[in-house]
Amino acid sequence: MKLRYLPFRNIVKRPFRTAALLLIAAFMTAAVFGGSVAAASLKNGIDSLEQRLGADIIVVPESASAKTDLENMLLQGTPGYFYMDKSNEDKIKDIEGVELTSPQYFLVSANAECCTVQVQVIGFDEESDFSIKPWLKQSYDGSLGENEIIVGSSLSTRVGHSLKLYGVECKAVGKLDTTGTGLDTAIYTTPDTVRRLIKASQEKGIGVLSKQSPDDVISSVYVKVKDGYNISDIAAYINLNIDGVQAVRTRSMITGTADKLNVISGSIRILIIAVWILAAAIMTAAFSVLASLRKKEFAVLRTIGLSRRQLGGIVMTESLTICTAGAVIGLAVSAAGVLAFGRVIETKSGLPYLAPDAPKTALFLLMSLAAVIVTGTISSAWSAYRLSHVDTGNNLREGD
Amino acid sequence: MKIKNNIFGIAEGLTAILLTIGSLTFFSACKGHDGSFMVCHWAQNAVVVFGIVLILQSLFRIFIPNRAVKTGLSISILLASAAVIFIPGIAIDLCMMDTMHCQSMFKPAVRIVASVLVVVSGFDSALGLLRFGKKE
Repeated sequence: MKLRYLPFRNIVKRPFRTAALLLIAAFMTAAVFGGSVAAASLKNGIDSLEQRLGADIIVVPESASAKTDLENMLLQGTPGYFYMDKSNEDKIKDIEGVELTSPQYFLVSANAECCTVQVQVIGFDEESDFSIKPWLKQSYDGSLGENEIIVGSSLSTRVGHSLKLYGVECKAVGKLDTTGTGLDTAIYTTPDTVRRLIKASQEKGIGVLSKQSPDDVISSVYVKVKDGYNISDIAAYINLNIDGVQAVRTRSMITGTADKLNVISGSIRILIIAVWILAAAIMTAAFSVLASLRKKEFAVLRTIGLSRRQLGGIVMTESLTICTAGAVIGLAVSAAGVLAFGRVIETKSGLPYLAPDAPKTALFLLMSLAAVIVTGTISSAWSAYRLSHVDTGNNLREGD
Repeated sequence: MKIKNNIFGIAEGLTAILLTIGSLTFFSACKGHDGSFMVCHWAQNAVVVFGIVLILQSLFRIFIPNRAVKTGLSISILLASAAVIFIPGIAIDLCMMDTMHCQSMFKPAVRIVASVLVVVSGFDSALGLLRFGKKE
């Protein structure tokens, strides 16, 4: 047998020892990689939500207990509907300091033909819109035609394909970028198409759609404030002077969620450090105990002519192989958890969750791999030194 | 039947059982209402049928003593489990929204379990073929 195969033979012939060390390395990598990706995904989610809202203020009907309903709709995709008089938009538009306003109409969600879950339909005004079209992933030639829709990224309907809502064939002409929030599950269309959907549902005798037409009512107004004006002041002015509406600063609306995310991300980071320290301590202890148990084995190897350097090399190769294999297992397990089941985490936690892009994920992967390998190598270095300096005579003379 | 010679076969069998039972229970596709089935139901049925076939192949792999047959069966498990990866969402459509159970749970779980089966049966096949290489 060649000397270079000896460390691998040692690993294979001691399955329980190998399995225990593999498990520690895998656990450490899973914690470091999974934790880093989960924390980054939560941060991405809240950042993308903040950017995606685009507006400084969202005005909704007072009766809608605005903040909760709108936040649920935005974050979890819980279908919501509330209406106010259309004239409110004109009143908001006339306020000094308001740069842009764009009304939206939330339709009581419809059961799409494909699934039994409800889909939120949002009617928006194309001319004044500044919060939906900028997020179009795949461009289309301009304005939405009859029964044409834009779909959120979570809907599997592809651009050019159709989706049947209340028997009306709606053609998807655009798809929005992923936000990791409830906005991904909505369908966006013009008030004209909304009217046709309402009519179609009434013809089918389905009473769940609103009896209130987009001709008379709207659900929300997205407001952009001019530079130099205080957003809070404008929101307060709307609340004081326009009856029956509530103006919510988008930033304050997501502050609660952002705070919750900061606490979760902080806990994840502490957990990563704790697991790392614990795993490093266990690895050092394990290698140290193994060094004591393997003194005779190394004394024999020294006697048959292996140099101290070669003995140290055997220990280091063993630990490096085990740490690398354990790290790969840990990476596979945690990637399956935080990447493949990201949607489950998002749905169950009700928090915006957007996985980092491929280069960033690869960076986390390499960093976790390096962290485990370096920790394993440092943990085994002392054992390698001790075993390469064994007192051959004494160790061989000692009985079992 | 020596356990030592059948560790891979047992692992394949257990993974195939997990795939089959899991697809019917804890990571099943969406449940239809009013007795109707959604499109993902058929993907679930296909995975379950494949799962049953994989269980039977694993049992044959464990109990048939001939090493050549064992290797042949492990190769067929490898190919069948690789095919399972492509059933949800590619060969058979799932529901429309990513947040639905079939998209968020059934698809990733089936792909992960089938991938584990691919890795295990891949090792099994490679070791079997290497043994033959050495004998010849």
